[in-house]
Amino acid sequence: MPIDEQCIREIVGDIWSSMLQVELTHVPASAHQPNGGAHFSAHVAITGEWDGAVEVSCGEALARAFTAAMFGMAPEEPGAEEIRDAIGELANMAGGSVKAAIPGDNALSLPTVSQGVGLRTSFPGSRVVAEAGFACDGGTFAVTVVEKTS
Amino acid sequence: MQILIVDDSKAMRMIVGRGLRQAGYGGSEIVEAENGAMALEKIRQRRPDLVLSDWNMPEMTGIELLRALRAEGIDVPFGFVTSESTPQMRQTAREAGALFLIAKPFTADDIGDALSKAGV
Repeated sequence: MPIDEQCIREIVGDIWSSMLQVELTHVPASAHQPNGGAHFSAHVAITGEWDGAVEVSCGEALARAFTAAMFGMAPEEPGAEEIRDAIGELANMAGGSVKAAIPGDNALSLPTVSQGVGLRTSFPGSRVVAEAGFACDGGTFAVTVVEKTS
Repeated sequence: MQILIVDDSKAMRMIVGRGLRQAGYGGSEIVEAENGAMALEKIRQRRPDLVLSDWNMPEMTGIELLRALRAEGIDVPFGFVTSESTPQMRQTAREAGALFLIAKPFTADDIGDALSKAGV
């Protein structure tokens, strides 16, 4: 399966549906912007015959909603630690599915989770292979696959 | 029945536990460990009836845990619940002694089917 927007949509749709029971609609990846608010980003690296990363990026409110769904908590209950755990695990699952779609012998890293206001991440020496935007109750989020170029 | 769930993500441990209950294993005692090293100690002490383990974890990975168990002669039924689901990983898991590998994301039916086929 080529790693393109459609591939990401299928992977993410499958994960969010089966693990969170959340149905998503598709929006342009550019529709998701940190906009100066609190933001979470989690990524996993894929290394080996292919080098790159898979990132899940979303605002705090939506991250909290996803976390509540995973933990079976009320929407207002999750704290920062739970949110980092949940978003990291979502990136882990997305990364694992992307890794499975890439030929060759590759390894998946543990997730790295960042949080901040107006958070923007970059992957120096890499190019965006594909990205997809999603919307659900609570906001939008984006999933991006980058490939190392140098 | 005592089931040990091993995953560095607390959220995933809860989801696996939820899946077990939905798959009909709600009467089981669920024990948790957040990495392979902690799981190895708990298995030595508590001798669970089944281990469900992630693959990628700090301290000790799931495959390292399984190999350590078999090296110590501990034949506890063992299955992976992991985002690592390539054919190569499945073969590695089988060769190390795993009964099954459930790929994330999964449903309660996936858990039930895997355990049922494994005779657990």
